[in-house]
Amino acid sequence: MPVGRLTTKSKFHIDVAYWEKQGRNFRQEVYDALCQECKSMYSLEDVREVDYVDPVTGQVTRIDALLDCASAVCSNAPDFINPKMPLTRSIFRAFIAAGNLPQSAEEIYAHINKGSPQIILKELLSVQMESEGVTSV
Amino acid sequence: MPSASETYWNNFQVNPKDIERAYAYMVEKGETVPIAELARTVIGARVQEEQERRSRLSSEAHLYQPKASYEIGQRLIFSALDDVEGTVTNLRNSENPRLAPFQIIQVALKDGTTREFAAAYTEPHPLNEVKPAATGAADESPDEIYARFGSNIERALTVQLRTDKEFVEQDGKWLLRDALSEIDEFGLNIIEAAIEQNNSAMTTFGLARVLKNDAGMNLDLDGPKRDTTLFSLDYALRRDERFVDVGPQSETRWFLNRLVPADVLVTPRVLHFARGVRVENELPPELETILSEIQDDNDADTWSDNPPTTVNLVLTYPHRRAGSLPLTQGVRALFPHANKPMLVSLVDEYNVRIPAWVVPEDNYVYGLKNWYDKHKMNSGALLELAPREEPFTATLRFQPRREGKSLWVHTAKVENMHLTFGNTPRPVAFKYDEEMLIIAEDQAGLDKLTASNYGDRPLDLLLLDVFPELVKLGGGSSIHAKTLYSAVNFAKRAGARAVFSALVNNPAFSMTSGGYFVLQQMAARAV
Repeated sequence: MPVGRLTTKSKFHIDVAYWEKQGRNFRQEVYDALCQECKSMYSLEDVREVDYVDPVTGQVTRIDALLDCASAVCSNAPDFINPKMPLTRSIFRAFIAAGNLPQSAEEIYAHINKGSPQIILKELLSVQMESEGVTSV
Repeated sequence: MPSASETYWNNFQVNPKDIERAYAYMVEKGETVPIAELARTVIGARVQEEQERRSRLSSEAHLYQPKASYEIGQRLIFSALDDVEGTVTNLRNSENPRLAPFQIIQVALKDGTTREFAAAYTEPHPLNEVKPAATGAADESPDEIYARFGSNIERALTVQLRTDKEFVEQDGKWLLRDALSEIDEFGLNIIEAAIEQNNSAMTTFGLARVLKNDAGMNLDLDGPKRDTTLFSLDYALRRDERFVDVGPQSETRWFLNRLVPADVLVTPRVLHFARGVRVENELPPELETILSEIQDDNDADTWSDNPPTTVNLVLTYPHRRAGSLPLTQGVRALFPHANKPMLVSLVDEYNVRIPAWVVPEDNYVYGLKNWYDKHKMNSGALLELAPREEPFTATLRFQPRREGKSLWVHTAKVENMHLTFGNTPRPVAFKYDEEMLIIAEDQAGLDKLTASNYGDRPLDLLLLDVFPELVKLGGGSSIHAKTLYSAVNFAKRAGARAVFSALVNNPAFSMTSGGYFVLQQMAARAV
């Protein structure tokens, strides 16, 4: 496939290092988004990484415990991503729900069922998403 | 029960790897590729992949499944990672309070990376359902697979490639969008001027030469990129509404849309066929003989591979009025197969070239109005078309006749929006079929009749209308089938077989000898 040209199949994620550079707390953002079940399991101060099993490949990666919980538990909660949410917020939540593993516009669309892959790609490349640290991988 | 091969290939679905392979193949090839070649590429790759997988599975490597436990040194195949193979190099316990404890294996993969995977994992995971059994993908040779399932694979591949903007398609061939030669607005303007100056359709190659020689464009017309250049030019012309392809199925020939006559784009009403006609395949032998002499004009003709030969036609009113000829089976054989309007040339006995349009959809060849006017043609005129060496051309001939003394001929006119006939002395400048010669006397009235719904009635009723009008002209109560055919065509275009079938099937008419018909009620009245 072509190199250097972003398509609806190109993968994106939230660049946590960008948050750090900006002096912002990504964990706080994730924690605020967590469902009650995860909030009762972890505290914001409980900084730890856990083993995350990829649902497709079985590969294990180490990710922040808050993201792991968000992806495994909160993502199933009906209100975690809801139709009333602005599109950019839904996209951001979709990254958290996937443990911030790289996702394409098509995959995000399949998850949030809002807009279209093309519209989501446009949003992913918007200034607003850039300010949230969303970047292609 | 279907074989494993049938199950696999009948359920073939294109995956991203297939598209990547097609892409890579096209990058390597650098030119247009037919879909068959891409299908063969995909088949070959899948067969090879399956063969490699089988050989690995038989060499004591196990298919990785998260639910299983593994030991250091064990060889595994990872189906979700394109069947990459790896060796377990380490084990450790999991760390995640949310999940029941499981094992984590460290694996050195053959691609040089080391990754960790879940083992003894009790949560549901789709890889636990993957069976280590081989598929039927490589049970037959690629050639056999293509022969048996190729069309299905080509179809699936075509559907998928059409959704991918990296690929462009044209006439069953594919090219990468990035490989298209750039044909800019300047080039398209040059082409427009060239076609206009030529006043004839031009081949893609001919236009490419114009761009290269006259516009100085750097186009490869003799080297390895020739096909790509021509593909790109066709692609650009198809997307510009100034141009239209007027070639046969096998060849692209370009012309200017604005120069295509309106009567080619929209069939004139006078050439609309009578509808709902029951056509007999087999007519009485006498009528079949007559039919073979005048050629049928119908809307069910298709292209055949009959060799071109001389065709004799008798002009009928709809074609005289529209300036056309019927595209009979014999006429079709003179030109290449076409499924859309095709520009051809007819050359008369004075070597005058007449641009003409083959319109297969409504079965006519258009463009002869001036020629008919010039030679004072009327319905009933004998015409001859003959093949010529030069492609897209045929010879058109009529037999001139010294006008001299006027002849008494049938004329067609309209009274109270009703078709009627008369006899009038008129000079005739062409040889004609005696039974079919009818001259339009009241053209304005006939045009109004055509525009009305008079001719939209069933052919039977039109014949019942026309028959008494012809009897009134004198010459007895029987009318020849050809005369009825010629006369009824003043009301509506109908082929000879359709007219003869209507006469044979309607009990109101009965056939006497020599192809003559009588109308029963009139015959009874006469007795």
